[in-house]
Amino acid sequence: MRRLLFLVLFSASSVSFSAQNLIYCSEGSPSSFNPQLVSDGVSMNASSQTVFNRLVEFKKGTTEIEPGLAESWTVSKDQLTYTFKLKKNVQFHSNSFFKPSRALNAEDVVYTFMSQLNPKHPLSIPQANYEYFKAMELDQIIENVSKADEQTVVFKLKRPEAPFLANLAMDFASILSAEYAEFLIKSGKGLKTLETQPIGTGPFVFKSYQKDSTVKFTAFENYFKGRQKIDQLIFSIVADSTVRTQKLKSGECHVMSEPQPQDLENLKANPKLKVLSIEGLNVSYIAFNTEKKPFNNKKVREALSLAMNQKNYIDVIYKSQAQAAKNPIPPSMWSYATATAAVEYNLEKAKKLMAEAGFKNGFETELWTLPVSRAYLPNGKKLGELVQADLEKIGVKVKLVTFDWPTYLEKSKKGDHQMVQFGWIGDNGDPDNFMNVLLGCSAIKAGSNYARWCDQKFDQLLQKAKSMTDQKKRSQFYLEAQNIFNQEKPWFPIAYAKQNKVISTLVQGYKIDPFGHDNFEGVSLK
Amino acid sequence: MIAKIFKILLSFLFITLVSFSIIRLIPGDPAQNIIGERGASEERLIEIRKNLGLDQPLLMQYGHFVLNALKGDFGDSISSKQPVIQEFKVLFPATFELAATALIWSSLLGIGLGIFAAIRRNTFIDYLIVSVSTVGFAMPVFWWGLVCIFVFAVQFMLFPVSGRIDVIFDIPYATGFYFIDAVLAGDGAAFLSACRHIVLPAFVLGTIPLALVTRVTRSAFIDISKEDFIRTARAKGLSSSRIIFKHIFKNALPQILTALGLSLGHLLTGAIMTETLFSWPGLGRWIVTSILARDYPVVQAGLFYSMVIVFAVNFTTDEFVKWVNPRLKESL
Amino acid sequence: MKNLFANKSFSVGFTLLSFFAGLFLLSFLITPFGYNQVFEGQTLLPMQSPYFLGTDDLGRDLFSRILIGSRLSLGIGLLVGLLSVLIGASLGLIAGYFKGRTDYWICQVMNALQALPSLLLALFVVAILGQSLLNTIISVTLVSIPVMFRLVRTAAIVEAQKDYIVSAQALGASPLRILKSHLLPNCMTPILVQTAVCCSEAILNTAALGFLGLGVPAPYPEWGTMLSDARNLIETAPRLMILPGTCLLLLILGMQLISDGLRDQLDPKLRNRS
Repeated sequence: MRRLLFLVLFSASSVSFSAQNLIYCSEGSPSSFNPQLVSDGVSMNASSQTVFNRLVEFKKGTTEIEPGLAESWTVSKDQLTYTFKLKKNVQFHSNSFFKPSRALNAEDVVYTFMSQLNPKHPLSIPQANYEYFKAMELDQIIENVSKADEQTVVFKLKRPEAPFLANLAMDFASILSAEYAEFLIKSGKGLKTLETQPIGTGPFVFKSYQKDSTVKFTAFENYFKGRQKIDQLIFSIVADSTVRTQKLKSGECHVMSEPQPQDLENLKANPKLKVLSIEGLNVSYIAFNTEKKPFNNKKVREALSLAMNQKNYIDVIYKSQAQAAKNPIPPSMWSYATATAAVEYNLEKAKKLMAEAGFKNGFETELWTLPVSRAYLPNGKKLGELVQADLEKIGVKVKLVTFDWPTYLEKSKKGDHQMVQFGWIGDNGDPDNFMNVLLGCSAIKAGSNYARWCDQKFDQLLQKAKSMTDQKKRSQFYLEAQNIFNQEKPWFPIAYAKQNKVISTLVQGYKIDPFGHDNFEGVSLK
Repeated sequence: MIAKIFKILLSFLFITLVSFSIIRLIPGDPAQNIIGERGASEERLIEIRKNLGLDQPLLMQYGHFVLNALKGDFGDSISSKQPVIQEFKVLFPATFELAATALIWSSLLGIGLGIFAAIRRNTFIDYLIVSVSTVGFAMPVFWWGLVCIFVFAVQFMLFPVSGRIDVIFDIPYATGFYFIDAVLAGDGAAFLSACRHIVLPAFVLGTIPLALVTRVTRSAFIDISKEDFIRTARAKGLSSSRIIFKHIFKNALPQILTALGLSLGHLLTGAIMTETLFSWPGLGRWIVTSILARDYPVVQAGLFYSMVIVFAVNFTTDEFVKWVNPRLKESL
Repeated sequence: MKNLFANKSFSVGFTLLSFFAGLFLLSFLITPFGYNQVFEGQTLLPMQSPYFLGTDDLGRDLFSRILIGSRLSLGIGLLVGLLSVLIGASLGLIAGYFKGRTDYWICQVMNALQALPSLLLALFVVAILGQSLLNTIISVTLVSIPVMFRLVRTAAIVEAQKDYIVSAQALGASPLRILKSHLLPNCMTPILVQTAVCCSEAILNTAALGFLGLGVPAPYPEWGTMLSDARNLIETAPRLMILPGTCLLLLILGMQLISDGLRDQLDPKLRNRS
């Protein structure tokens, strides 16, 4: 009996540790595994960054574009035609019920984009909200995507779009398998399965997902850029940041997302860990839902902004890890309006404006607080309590509400909120990516304009800027746009935060990404 | 016998009625609550209502609900888009393992301590045990859990503070009980990892039942040992241990069993707290997160399964006590 | 009455309770700072003046927050105890006295309420009603009514059979009069004991709901919510967790000791029923 126990205890232990298993402590559960439908970093990390590739991709750790699934491309002189030549012999994954019969070809690219462009496309998901596609206005820019031959795809645009190539490097433009989609429909499993069982060309194959617990991937043997050194990639979902930090310290995970600012000193001093830091391409804010009263009243928005003590928020919530925000784009972005005045804190002025707006006795409202910890906002609940305390001084009673991350996103997209906390990490290094997606008129329908603010002058400036390629000329328009933003105040901007990642010293090849993604391609363990 | 079956059926009816109504009691459109308000247009809502059968008369809806409940079909979770029953199948063994471990250690230790205290009545040890168990019984389990985490995991780094097992392990699913499955798969390291992970949560969860069982055992023993027939046994010259175990213990058993039954209730509530504290992937945490997330299909299933479990536990305990009692009387 | 204080449990419990009652009253007279007052740049200060117990991670005075939190814990506990007596005990007396169909139907409702352990039931009630101070009170009251009801009903049934009640009926006294003047006074013992138990359970359930994030909403400094907030800071500022938690523990302990003491003195037969 004792011998049996001995055998049992030591039998498989040696085997499981010779493989390279990288464990990533993530802070939330992905809302879906279909990159076309997700807009949050957590879901992107678990889908597009692991399972998929795009036509062009960002060189790791930079905002430069390099070939992805496309080995080369040409752009017509009038900038209305983009022709991509696809790499040959790029394989798709298999899973327990699907095995691809062919390599990647133009049909997959055509399907990926046309299904998002045309709701009547046979493989388009019925009633789906292709939010990012719409927010980047690709539904108004792309006229057609067609197959020229097996390895060549042609994009025809309705108008020139300077950031077009950069847009194709974004997560929502990940290339899906047309064969898989057809199979899902034919077998009766339905296109909904794309959200729970993804198939892509990427370095890791999706294995399993346990809600609020783990997501597991295995290395794709036939990855076109070479089989990864990591055999198993495991996302351990731990919502509590203290627990994430503990797990990192104890070696239970190798990479941790979203360290708390107050833990950074501690972590930097730890010889087994390494803290990576980069200026964030991000901004955090509280959006006023300008479609609802009283936030449709500019005076009210101004009053509320004056009553919120931005400096204190940055000290308490971010420690020294962020700068005070004033524009909707961060300082590292070109065309940042340095001349904008800093956010003012003035209670007297605030009370006066409230009286002028007819709210001398204040009013009651709700602030939705961010349920996940992000670099741009490490603790939404605590910030909410600070805002609550501040606004009480001008008679505004704030109720704090939160939901789990996927629900938070869903409801905000619909505009159910009054005031809501959000942040944004840039996707492609272009100011349009911030201002259009977050404040453009077409973004209201797409759901990403949480202030639900549509200013025609502002929008036109953005449209004009998009249509040209000369950065200097575009800057002029963006500067003017920022001016309008600062007068109308659809947001209360909070901070531009540093992006920090903490990894174990055993991890090699991990590069911190300006877009905040956690990408494990090319990463290995010592 | 027929009365018992009738009682079970009636309870089942009641349970289904309550879980059926919960979604309709929540403010808002049941269609939107069930599918999670996915930015639905009016036509989409009509379509959803048709799919969910919400346009049918209530009685028919109820009938469908009962049939589906028997099949285990509660729809899909809004936040994970996976069938609710699938989630339940994985989570139930986790909670059961935790509760069973906690129950076993707390009842064994509790009975032991209770007897010990009763024997050493009114000594310092007795006072100690009584005070500690009084305090233990009053303790909010979530506070106690935090203290334990602080001492054992943070200060001394002895035990992991979250999860059921190290994430690298992939135990092939046989029963869902990690201890059994790990042995079946011959994976010793996984077994050890599961052991390490269950220590703190089971310790925290079992503390209040421990306090309860200790108190009840002790007072039951003291009461019974005052009784006449015990005095008679002593007078007869029977040895102490014989008296203790044969006579007192058997007579105290009904009270102890009742206390154990009560502690099952504490275990269920405690499980919710403990699972939240230790990120233990069980039913308790599932219910709490789904309420916070307004994931109503899960809330409904959670309510249903909670009531079923509570009913099953109470029923079994009652029957067991009824079965044990006459046998005890016989053997004396 | 003097015997009561001689009882160890009762006196210790009473001392504890008086301490918290003192805090409760104090919170109305002097609070060094507002519970919601944020002090810029004063986050996570250890115990030092003027912040008697230091500050929390948002720069709020811990002592004031605990003081005002006592209002919530003790206040809700007593309120719920009172409500469950009013509702539960009245229903119990009615059911026990009138028996028959009234009794049957009330019992069924109470059975239904007891289908789940109290915290679970409170959770689901909050799930339906939403999260607010009022809903916390409602759900916690709802779950404490059945036990009170049961206890009083049993006592009422026993009393109702006694001679003096029968004679009162024969003399033509109205049911209301009988309930008020005869049944109630003679059932006071179990009612008193159970009230203390209800109070302690209510305090625990309120804190439990607060800890899970479903109780009294921010910024009210409810002790359970404060515990949950302190989880992140176990390493940096353990006192944020230890102090509110200890207060909670001592308050509940005090209530329980009082109920134990009352039970021991007034009706030893009720022991081992916890």
